[in-house]
Amino acid sequence: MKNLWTILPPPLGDSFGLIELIKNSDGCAVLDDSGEFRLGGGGGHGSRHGGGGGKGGHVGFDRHGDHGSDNRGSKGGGRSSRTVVSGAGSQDVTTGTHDILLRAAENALARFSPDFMLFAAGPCGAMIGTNLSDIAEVVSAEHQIPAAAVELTGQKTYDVGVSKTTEAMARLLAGSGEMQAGAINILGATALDWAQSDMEDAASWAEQQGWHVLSRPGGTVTKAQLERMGQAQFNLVVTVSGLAAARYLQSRFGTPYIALSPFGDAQCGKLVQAVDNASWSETYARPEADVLVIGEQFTANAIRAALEEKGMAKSADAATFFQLDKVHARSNDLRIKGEAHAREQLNCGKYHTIIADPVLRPLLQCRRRWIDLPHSALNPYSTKHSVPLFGSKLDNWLEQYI
Amino acid sequence: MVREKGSHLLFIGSYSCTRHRATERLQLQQEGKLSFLCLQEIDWITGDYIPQIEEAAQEVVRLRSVKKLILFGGCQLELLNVDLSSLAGQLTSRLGIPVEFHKGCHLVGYNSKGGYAR
Repeated sequence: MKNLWTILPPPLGDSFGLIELIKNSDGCAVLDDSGEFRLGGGGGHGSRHGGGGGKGGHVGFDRHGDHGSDNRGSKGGGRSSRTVVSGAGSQDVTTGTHDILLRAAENALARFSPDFMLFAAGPCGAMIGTNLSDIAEVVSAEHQIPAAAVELTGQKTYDVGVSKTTEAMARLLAGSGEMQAGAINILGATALDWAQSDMEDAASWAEQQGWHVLSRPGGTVTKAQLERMGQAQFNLVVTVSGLAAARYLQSRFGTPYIALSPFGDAQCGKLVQAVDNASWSETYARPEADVLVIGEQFTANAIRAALEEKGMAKSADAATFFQLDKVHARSNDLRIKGEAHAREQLNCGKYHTIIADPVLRPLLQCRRRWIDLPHSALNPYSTKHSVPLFGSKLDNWLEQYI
Repeated sequence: MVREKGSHLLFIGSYSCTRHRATERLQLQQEGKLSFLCLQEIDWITGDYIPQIEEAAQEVVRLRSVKKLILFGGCQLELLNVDLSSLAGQLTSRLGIPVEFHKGCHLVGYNSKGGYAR
């Protein structure tokens, strides 16, 4: 049954994609929902913190290790989530959440002094259905701050939250300007998919290639940087969550994009070549796959490319619990539709090696070689961080196992 | 509520709901005492959530050797005013084990005093 999670923890909801982006920016977010969220992992069992108190301004979003932050963070991110919740309750079903959202926005403005503001619905707000675009317009006019709604419901997975928030930031802030030769945006990289060191390595590597990184939503980013997104010569899309913003920027500014995760030396080489040739296409030989890689789509693609390039596998199928963009998928790649489907794939007999988050291992019922690929968005129980895979780190990591 | 051996909680809500008080929830799942049914917008709109709850209850009982099942949920059940007590009664007859609906969980999935369904 696709929506039932008995062994695996349910994946992160879309609200957390928004929180991940906003916490590293100089903006802030107001989430129309009933209460605080926790991700599990370390921290005090049963503890509640976040403060804010009262309706229209509860704060309390924590990730691993963030327990105890008071969310009164200074401008620019740090440990603060830079997100407040409206605190909707039963009575707001009839009165609506308009007023408490405005109060929450004022609270957020006072606390964070943000340079822009995003509004989104959590599961409760989505059911009540307050028009968040209207709220954004009111706040924008009253406080002279760029504001917009992000179309989220708390009912989809985190990657949709990252996609829609990145696109919303681009729509709200990217202004036209003359194209700058060698300027790029890095789209789709967040700590929910990548090791923190990979995010820093990707930016430094890009600069070493002579490219200038205008913005990288998901990492530390400012309104001023986002306003220059439209000046890029090309966009580098490093996870599937960056595609929506890249396609928007292409339609508005004509900016081409290259969709490729720079994991593995060979992939980095292809990326540089694609920029030099101003085009990108991949030709696929398609032998029967003997390895299954489960993870974020572009990461899984990069691991497959490295396995094939080094002759470590005949081929691999990429699978993901999250978005699977068909343009960047092979015919046998698949979107896993839940726990039962994952069990079926792991035990189908086709693969001698599985590369996936260890949380999936209890679903394996036969003997197979297993290589851990921690993915924090899938496994909130884990204290393991994502494996650094940027450039040659992927090759070194694979060589340990295969 | 799940101290009794064989008792199992089935949470009905959405992905983001599962992170309200997630520390406790995820620990209970690791102990094999809690499962999640994460529904999408379309399920709430079309009414498909009722057959999915029935199917999930059957599946959880089968997979986890459950002797008593307790249904509880997020704001959607509250907002749609779903009569889960009646559904629990039907499931009791069909599955041959006690099935209850715990209504102490309001919009955030736990009651206003901060109590949790355990």
